[in-house]
Amino acid sequence: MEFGISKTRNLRKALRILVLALVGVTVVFPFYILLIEALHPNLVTMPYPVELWPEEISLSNYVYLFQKNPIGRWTWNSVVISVGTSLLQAALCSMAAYGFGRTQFRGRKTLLSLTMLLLVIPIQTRILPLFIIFSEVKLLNTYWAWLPFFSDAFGIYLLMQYMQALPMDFDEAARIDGASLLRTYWNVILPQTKPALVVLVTFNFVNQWNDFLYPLIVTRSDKMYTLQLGLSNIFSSATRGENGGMGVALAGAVISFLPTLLIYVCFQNKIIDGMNISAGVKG
Amino acid sequence: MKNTLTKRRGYESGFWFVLPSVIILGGFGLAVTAANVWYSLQNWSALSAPTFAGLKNYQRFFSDSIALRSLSNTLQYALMYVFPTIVLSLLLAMMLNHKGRLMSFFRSLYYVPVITSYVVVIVVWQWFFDYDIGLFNSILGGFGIAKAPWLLDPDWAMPSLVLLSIWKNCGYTVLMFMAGLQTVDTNLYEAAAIDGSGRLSTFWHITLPQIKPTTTLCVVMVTTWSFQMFVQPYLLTKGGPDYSTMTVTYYLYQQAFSSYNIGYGSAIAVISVAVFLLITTLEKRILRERG
Repeated sequence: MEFGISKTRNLRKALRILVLALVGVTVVFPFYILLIEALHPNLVTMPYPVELWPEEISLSNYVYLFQKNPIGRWTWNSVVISVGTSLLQAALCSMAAYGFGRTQFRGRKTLLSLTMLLLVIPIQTRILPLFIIFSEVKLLNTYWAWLPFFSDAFGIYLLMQYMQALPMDFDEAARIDGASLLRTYWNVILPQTKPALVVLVTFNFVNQWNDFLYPLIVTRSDKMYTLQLGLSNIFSSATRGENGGMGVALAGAVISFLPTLLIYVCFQNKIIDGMNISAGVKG
Repeated sequence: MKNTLTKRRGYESGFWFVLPSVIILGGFGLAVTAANVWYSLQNWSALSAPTFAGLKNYQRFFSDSIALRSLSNTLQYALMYVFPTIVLSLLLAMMLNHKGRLMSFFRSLYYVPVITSYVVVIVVWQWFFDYDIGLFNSILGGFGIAKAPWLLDPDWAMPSLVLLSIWKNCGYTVLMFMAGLQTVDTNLYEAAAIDGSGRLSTFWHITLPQIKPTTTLCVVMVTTWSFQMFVQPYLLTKGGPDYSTMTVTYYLYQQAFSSYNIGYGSAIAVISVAVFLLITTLEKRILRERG
């Protein structure tokens, strides 16, 4: 009898792992195709019938990609925008979270509720006026167009929640020792919020790196394109069989995907913890 | 009383900490949203100076069949998207909710498409959907089944894009459900086991009601993604065939940035956000009341 139970239990476990592995294959397959077919030389359209291993392997798509497109420039733009906005956003959000959550000043509650209003307003109602403003002040097609992302209501909210777990005794002790608010923030509070900051920075980096609509609207020349925009242009011409065809688009996709994958592999546990934090906070 | 006063003293300069964020969020968030509402009341296209138009842009929206179509497409997309996502993610989350390295490996693996950009995903999926040489039709052909029109038929195009989105974002909702499952009180499971409750009945009467906050969150999340859906029609279908994949955000983009109808584009933005807020409020209310 007992043997029977453990047998069905093992069978159930094996079945479960089988299903999970099949889902895993479905997840991996497109990435496999991406990596493998990017090595298929002179690939104008995707091979037919489906091939799982190209007859010939070469880096010619990558060579073409780098020779005929300003990939270096696009990558640089993406790096500046993603690194810049995610770091500045973390800095400004954490200052604001400290100010709203752990200090007292006149108008604090009003400003906080105004800020939190932005949690529910999606980006759609902002893109058009932002486009008009930045074109009026001639800052379209510059990195300054990303100024609106230097702070974020959700980032402030997340960090405030995180800081709430720290007792006010810390602040009190620092104040009695004669520390200014800036010192208290910098030496006492900031070091203890490091895990939440890492989560925020990685999340925002990935979001900015992958963003499409906003760069599409505020960039005007191919010199200011982000990697995603550049890739989308390569892809569009590839669907017409131009600019080296689909092989080059696949190589471009690999290049634009690698940095996020690298960040994910390095910080995956943090990202997953962060998901748990933010899921808990949002709910 | 005195105690709180001393406690408060020395915390007044906190204003300077919030100031940078307040300037940015106030200026580029709230003021800009107000500007959008103001624009929506203007008769304003690229070359002409804006003149006050009252509600004309809103009237135009409700008599513009493509605009109405884009709104209903977006809602249909959300509706088609939400149920499979919840069922699949909950199922996978429960299967992954065991200890072991293999489980955390799968969990990490399923999240990879989430951190991948839509452009990258589309470069490959465009081939999956291709009618003549695509993967899906090759597989169907292998089983002797007739080819499916995927992105070429108005009835097929939107469900195809839903399929892509499920593949891309399921890892996210799986993680949310896994976090939700962790919050279920294990005593309840023990009590159910003592009562001789079967697996299915335990799931139905304990797990499902206990994770309702997570389910609500997922429904709201999917709705949010649906209203922001843009890259798929932009790169894959151009809103076609026959406007079947025209979404509100893509139509807003077309009106504002291809036809330079700034006033009308702003009105589309306001309506889409208003409908979005209405729907998510309804979803939260309904899910809170039921069960």
